[in-house]
Amino acid sequence: MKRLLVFALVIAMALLAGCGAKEEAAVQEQVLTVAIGTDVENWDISKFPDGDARFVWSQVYETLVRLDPDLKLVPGLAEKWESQEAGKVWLFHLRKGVKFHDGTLFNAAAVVYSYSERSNVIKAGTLPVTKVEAVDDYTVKFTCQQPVPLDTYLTHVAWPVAGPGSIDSAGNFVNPVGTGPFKLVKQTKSQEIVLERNADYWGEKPQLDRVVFKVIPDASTRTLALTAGDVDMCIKVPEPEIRQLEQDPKITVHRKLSTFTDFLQFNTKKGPFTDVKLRQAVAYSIDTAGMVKNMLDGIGAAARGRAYSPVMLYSTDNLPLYQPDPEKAKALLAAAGWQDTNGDGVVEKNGQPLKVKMLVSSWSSRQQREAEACQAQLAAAGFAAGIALLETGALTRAENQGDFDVILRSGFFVWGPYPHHVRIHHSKNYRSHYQNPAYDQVVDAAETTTDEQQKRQLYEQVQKMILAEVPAFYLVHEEKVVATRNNVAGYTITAEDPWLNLAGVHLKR
Amino acid sequence: MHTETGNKAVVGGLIVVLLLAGVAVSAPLLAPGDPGRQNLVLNLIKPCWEYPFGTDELGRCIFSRVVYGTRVSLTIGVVVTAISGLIGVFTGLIAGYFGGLLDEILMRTVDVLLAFPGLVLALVLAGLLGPGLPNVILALALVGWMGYARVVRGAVMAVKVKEFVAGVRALGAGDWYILVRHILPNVLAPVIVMATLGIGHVILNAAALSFLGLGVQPPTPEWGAMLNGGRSYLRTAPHLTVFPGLAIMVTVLGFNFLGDGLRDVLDPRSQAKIPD
Amino acid sequence: MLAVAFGVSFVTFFLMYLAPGEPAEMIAITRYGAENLTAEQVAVIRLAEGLDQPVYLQFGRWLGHVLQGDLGVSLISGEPVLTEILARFPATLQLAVAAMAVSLLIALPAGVIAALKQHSAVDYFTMTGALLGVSMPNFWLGLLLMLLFAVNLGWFPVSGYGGWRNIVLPAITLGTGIAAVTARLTRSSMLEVLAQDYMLTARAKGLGEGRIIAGHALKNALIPVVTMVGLQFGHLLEGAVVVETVFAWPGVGKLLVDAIFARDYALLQGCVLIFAGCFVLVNLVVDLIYVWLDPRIRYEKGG
Repeated sequence: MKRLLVFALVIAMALLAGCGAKEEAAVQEQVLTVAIGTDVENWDISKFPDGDARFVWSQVYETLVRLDPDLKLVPGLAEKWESQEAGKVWLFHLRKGVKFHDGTLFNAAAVVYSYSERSNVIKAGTLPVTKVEAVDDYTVKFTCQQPVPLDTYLTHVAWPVAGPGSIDSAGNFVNPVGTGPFKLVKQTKSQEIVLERNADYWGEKPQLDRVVFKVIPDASTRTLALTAGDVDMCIKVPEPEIRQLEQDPKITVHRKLSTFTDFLQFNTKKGPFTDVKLRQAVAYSIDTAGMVKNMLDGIGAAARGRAYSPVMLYSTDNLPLYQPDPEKAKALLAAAGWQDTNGDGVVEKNGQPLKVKMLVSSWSSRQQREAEACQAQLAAAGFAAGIALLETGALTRAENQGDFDVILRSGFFVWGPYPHHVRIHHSKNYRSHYQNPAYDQVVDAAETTTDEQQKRQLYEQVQKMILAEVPAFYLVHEEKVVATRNNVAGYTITAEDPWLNLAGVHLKR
Repeated sequence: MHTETGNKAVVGGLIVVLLLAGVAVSAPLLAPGDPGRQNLVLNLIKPCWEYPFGTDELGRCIFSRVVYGTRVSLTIGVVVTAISGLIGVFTGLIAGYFGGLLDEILMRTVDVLLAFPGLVLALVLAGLLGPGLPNVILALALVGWMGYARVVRGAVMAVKVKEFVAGVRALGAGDWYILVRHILPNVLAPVIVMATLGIGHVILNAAALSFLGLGVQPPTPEWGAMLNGGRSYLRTAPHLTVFPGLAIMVTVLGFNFLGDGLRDVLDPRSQAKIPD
Repeated sequence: MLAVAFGVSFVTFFLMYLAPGEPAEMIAITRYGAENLTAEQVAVIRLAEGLDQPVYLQFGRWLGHVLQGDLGVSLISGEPVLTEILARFPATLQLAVAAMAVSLLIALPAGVIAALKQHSAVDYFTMTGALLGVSMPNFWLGLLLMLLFAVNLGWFPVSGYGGWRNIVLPAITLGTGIAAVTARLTRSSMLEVLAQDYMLTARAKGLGEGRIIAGHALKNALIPVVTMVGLQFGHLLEGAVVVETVFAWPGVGKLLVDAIFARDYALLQGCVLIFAGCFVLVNLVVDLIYVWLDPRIRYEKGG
């Protein structure tokens, strides 16, 4: 009898506990909804993930080396690494016990697969690697053409380690197989991407059960969706909305200076900007501090010609940055033979007015505003500047044909803290529009040296050369902005831009 | 039938249209400032005495931009309507008058082009040609002439069988003489009505193109482009979107009133009967 | 009908040649991002896509594929164009039907009441409202509705696709302009019918005013309205392009705008063809309905 009673009690308790657990699970289902601007068109490492796809990739895929919120290199899928032969050979010691989403084990073979000829990064020749081989199951050896800081390359979200199980035996892509804290469940084209928690995740266990990325292309609509409570988190908040969001008691705005810098890139191969004086005149005509303060509501930092965002490695203080100086601009124009002889406000040379064609992508409203501001300030200095607002394809065409004088654009070759992007002005770059052997030499030397002291000096030289020779005039260091509703807790913004760090994020009731 | 209301509408519409034309012509006198002049320190100011419509994100006077925008929009409306009207009337005249294979070919072309929703075709054309004022005009004109062709052809077919045409021909008049002197005047009424309504329609479509980023280039003060630029400020500074939107609406409304009224007064159907 | 279909395909195909530059090069830029674009890549595409052949052969081949339901492959996503369009089509159809419902709900009562109270304040108010409706840019209306009902009042989601609440604002935005035209037509058609002899007869027979209007006037007045509604369906497609963009509604209109910006030519041609196809089909159906509704009218081809 007593035994029966105990038995009944145990059963009852188990039932109750069971019910309780069930109820709790229903209540505690943690689903984070994030508004992004573009869909993930591609999940395969054989192609480059465009636009905001990288924010989603960074949940599913991981890199060997990672960046902490302040861009310090920290172990990712590699526990430690070292370089040999003065930086020509790199050994990565892999983390053990990591599983891909398909249950297979992460090992050296997977790394070799991820950096094989099939991968975009090798195919495109962006990673200066000649050979990738497995030394043993958990050690991979990368051999490069010349000494390079390879660990800084391998932080790029778009060049992660994927499982060989993501392709079938015929080599066709099947589905994304990563090691990240979340795995892909469902994607509805142009609408949403649903990720689910990876229960076997090796690192800090995700607290969210699911993450839903909602595709909302228009930036203002994205913000509106956040304020209306349709989504919990919103990336890439446009500058004009930020101040108002900051005043909204239901919303928290996270901001951090990023590695991206908007700049005016000159065509130094033909047209007026073959003359360095005219490029300098532009630099003296544009008030970037005023642009940031008034037009961008103080979001971002005025670059005043500085090529490196202050968060980057080797960013030098005390550079001779540009101060707007209309008189100096006028003097430089006059020295180059351009003067306003007919009083129409536009300078001429040999009877020809100084016409300048500025290209800007119709994709970013911030860059459009910057272009209009530059246009007006250049006009005040005597340039007859016209803007051509083009979509990406048309802009690329115009650029390839050299049909422009200046392009307003955001940084490419930008990831992590290392200043890879100075190669934009290297004459080997097909989009350089600038040729200076001295510059090429300094950049090459800076990248290949392993002596930190020397590296610092060389990169300081690069920065000074950019300021003096003005292959481009750097305008605004961009701030990364992510806004969350107050039910989202535990989010820490990272400086690395296409990366969304959801570790520790959970929803409050 | 509704001649009385028609007259009122004509007068009302005409007043609006004339006012707008006046604004466009005397823009430099009316606008307090240069529409392109920026003052970043004074950006996003709410409407006030000095800036009646406030300032935009670059500190430009929105009132000045709306005033100068009248020029851009009216130019697009009138030029596009003139081009498509001319193409359409010419096509309709020769198709209707000469008939036969020529008519068949021209009218099939019209059928084919009318099978595309107009804005869709204009959008694709503008997108492929690239943005800019000339391309916008070209794209809109190319998709806008078919309606005129159809109406004019119909009217010509009705007129050319009338006795007076046979009479004139018997007197030895040539085809072109008859077309221009006798037939054209008789088909003009519906064309005028269509063109008036058409200007409003074109302005609306041009604004839509600019709104989608396929229209005129900045910093041209175009209303659709201003609306698009103001989208980011919808919450913080709605005056950026309210005033250009109102300007579009008032302008289109003016042309619609005028066109509607003209239709009632001229009533194309009864016009076609007059030469009996 | 066949001639028109052929012409439509012809125009659609040759649209691509309007863009400056060589198609093979443009495809290469779209596909490889122009970053490492080489002459070889362009040459490979030219060969693979048959772009080295005479244009009429290219057109013939393309038409052959289209007739088999093969609209090619999207340059961006690599998926068949037809699959992409069919995936988006229901959203556009839903929006068009909802907008049509909104417009009829506004237009029919407004038009009938305006006709019954001709020259009254109600009449003037309604008809001015109708003119306002056609004159208002729908993207502007969309933004204003979004600001008021989604952001300030929070009644509806700001944008996107989902439950019934998502469709309300886009449907109202799209439906209003159409409602204006339909209301005017309903009014004038109603006025015409009310002035007919048989209305007097019905009144003379002592039928109640309500029954006269419901039973006789409305039925006859609706014939031209039905035609108009059909034709308006085409305009709904046109408006959908803009409204879908404003509200991030994942329909064919949005797909078309995206294809333009991405220079995805195959997708672009597919979308244009689908739009034209729907337009032609709707017109045909309208003609048939018209004949069926009003047997007195003989269907005449052309116009």
